[in-house]
Amino acid sequence: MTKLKKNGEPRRQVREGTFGLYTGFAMFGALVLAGLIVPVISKYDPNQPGLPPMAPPSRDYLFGTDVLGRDVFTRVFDAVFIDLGTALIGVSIPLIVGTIIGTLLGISRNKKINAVVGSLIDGINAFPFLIFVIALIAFIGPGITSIIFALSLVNWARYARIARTRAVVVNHQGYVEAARTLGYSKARILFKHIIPNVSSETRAYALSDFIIVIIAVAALSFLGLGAPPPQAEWGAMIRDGNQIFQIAWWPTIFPGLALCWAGITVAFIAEGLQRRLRETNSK
Amino acid sequence: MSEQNETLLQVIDLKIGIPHPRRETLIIVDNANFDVRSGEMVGIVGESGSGKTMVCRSIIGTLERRGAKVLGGQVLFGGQDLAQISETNWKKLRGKSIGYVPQSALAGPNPVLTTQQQLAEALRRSEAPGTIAEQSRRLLDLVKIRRVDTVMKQYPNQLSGGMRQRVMIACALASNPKLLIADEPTTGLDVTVQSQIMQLLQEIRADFGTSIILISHDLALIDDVCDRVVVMHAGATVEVGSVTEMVNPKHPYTLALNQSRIDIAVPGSELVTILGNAPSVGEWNPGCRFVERCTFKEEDCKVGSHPPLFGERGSHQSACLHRDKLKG
Amino acid sequence: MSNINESFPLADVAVEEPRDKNRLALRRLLYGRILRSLSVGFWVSVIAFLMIRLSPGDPVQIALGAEATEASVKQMRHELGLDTSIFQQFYNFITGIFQGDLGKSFYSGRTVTDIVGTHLPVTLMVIALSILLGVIMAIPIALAVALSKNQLVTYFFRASTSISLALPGFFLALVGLLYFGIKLNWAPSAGYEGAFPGNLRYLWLPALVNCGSLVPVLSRVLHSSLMDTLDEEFVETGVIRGVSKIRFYWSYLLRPSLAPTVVLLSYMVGVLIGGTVIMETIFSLPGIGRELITAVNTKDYPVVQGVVLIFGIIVVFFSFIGDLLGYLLDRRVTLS
Repeated sequence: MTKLKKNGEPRRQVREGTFGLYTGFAMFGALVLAGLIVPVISKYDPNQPGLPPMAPPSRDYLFGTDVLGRDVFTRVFDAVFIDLGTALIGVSIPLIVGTIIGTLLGISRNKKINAVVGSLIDGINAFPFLIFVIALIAFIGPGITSIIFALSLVNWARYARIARTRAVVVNHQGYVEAARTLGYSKARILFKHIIPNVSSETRAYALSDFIIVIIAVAALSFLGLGAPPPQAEWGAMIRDGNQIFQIAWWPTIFPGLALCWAGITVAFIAEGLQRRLRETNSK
Repeated sequence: MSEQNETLLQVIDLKIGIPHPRRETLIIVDNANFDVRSGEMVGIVGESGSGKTMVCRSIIGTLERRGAKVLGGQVLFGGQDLAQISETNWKKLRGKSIGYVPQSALAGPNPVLTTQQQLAEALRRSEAPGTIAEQSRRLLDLVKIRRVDTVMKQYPNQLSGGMRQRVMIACALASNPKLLIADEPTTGLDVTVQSQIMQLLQEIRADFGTSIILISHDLALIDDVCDRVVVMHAGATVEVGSVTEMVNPKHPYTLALNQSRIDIAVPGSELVTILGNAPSVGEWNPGCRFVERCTFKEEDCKVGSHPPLFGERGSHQSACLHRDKLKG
Repeated sequence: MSNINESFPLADVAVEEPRDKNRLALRRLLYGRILRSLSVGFWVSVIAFLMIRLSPGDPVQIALGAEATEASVKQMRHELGLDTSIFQQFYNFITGIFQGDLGKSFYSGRTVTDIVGTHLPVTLMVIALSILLGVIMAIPIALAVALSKNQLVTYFFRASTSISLALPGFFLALVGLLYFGIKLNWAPSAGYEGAFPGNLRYLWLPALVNCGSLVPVLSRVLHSSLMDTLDEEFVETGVIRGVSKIRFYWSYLLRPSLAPTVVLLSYMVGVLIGGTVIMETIFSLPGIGRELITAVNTKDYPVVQGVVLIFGIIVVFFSFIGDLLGYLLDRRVTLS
């Protein structure tokens, strides 16, 4: 029930979730911006050792230096693109592949294909996500491309499951039936009418998945399965810093905080968008 | 039918609202007035949002958990004002002399308890002779459930709607109540099942002299089974009278309800519907709350507060300023 | 009463109920779930089987090193059954699983079954403790938030759960280990003891970190089910019957709300396994996760394959149990 003013106009109110959404965007944007600017203007090379090692945070080295004598501040922001970029690609590929496969399954009338691929999807989803990715990396070797490849190979099935359920519903909705009666081509119906409506749901999931994948990418590098040295990467930096954690906290804490910052800001955005979606749906 | 005249429950000028920490209190019931006598079956009729359910929650003491509160008036039952009872005292009172059959048969019984467990809970404080199991069987027998052994072990979702409502009635009867409140007990049930449940309620009243409040939006149903009718509109009682008196309504809303009844419509004639919608809670207009939909309205209807019930308590009462116009 | 029955013949129509609807529903649920678990289990083993075969490079060559002679490679291929057709290999693999034969480690020569048998209990212990802690925390939190009428509490709950979900567990574990393990000395940073009460000293911190992602998910789902239940009509009857507080909270609030949480918890076991593998590495616990990471780093393929298979089977098993438990708690749960 929407509250109406006496003259029948809806009361103007700030849309739900707006505050979190904007804060999230601003804070996430700040991180990306810093990732763009800091490596360029910084006096130090992110990967070149030579500064005094393990220098605590000071005016010269804002976040201190690591055990090899590299500026942690420069490295933390140099890693923004490798971390967020890997996660972004690692979410996008499964999103696209999973949405298409799931949609095709949902609208297909072939029961055999549906049953076989459906149980394959269930099978992949049954594996603990991180374990499956780790195992795949074992066979194809560590590295950023391996992470993306393994993530894609595992995660498409989750999107496909969501897309399939949704596609079954969308396929029988009035506007799709109407388009069919109008004699539109199958491809046009699929891409113009069905996929956009299916992907609204998979995209919503992708946003919360993005948080998981950001953390997973760092965790894999932490386990030594990701970016090879000297590449600055949060998980790898935490792994290196951990060796001297008791003596010097800064090489571990600052990349960790950057990782937390990325996760929380995306969570704010996801939460805000979800609230909006719910609000729009309930109207 | 014994002691038809002794008054069992009196609802006087009841006012119920939902307090809000920042906004003003939302009034959902104002000017609710009616009596229930011993062994009598009273029907409360009104559209959704008219406050019927809230009035009955004030009688069974479950207003508070829905965030609502009695703001004024009295609910007299057995010499006590139920509107003034604190939550701790309610704990001692509830489930003793007032039984309650919830609104929908489908969501009424607790889904995780078997019939046996539901009955055992209801019978916890029973002082009747016999073990809980014996009493449970007797109750199920009373509501005419056969194959008691099977039903006892079943969960609500394994029972049909009619069966669930029978179980709920059995639970409500466990404490041998003087008053039974049935809040739209047949919502979502088939017509045949509906009439079975109604017959059951009538038998219970005949056998035990239990007073029954039947809440419904269906005037035809109430007409069939009740002695007296309470008509509610937008949180207020607008007319009270016996079923026979209601044939000649004294309030335009009742008149409109009567005219819109399908069961007595003359074949071939147009079906009359009531103009507009009932005003939503929180958007009541000044004066009579029915004025926007009324065909008899005059200027004085639109000012002041909602008119009270005119006439002597217990007689045929109406809350219409121009009730004389309806007589002809 | 008899004359009333005669005058109301209609009153007996609704009494017929299918006698064993109860047993039928349970049987259908069981069969459906077993069938599903079997089909998922089949794919789990296919995937585990294919992994090793589809990897670039010859696993045998990798295992034996670059200097291996052709004869020794051939010898090992034969030992591993790699010189037969792929279908024969798959058949051998499946029959091997049923006989408890998951192959041998390339390096230590121990059987994978032996490795799993030694190290799995530690991992299961971490998971069990995480679930226990998680449930102990999630239930009161969800209840308190659901029963609170203050909008701010709900807001704070939503914000803190989504923040907690966005925090990297491995980083929290490192910080926790430094603080509790080294500064306060509440948790040992290395070593392990297998016996029950003593091992808790080593396990509480990893389990607590796991709860960082478990509790938000559980409490959110439970909270929304509780809100739905609070709106239900039957809660009214509980109030009216004046049942005791404990009984009210259990039978009228928690139990009707718990089923989705239990089912979700069983699905969360997969996530917990992932978290536990990392925790074992950080806290140097002799669990199967640490074995997995070692095997990954040394390219000990049979161990990787075996561990993945075991974890897949564990997840399938838990989701089966979860569905069943959900049904037993609340008969409204149906098979979709």
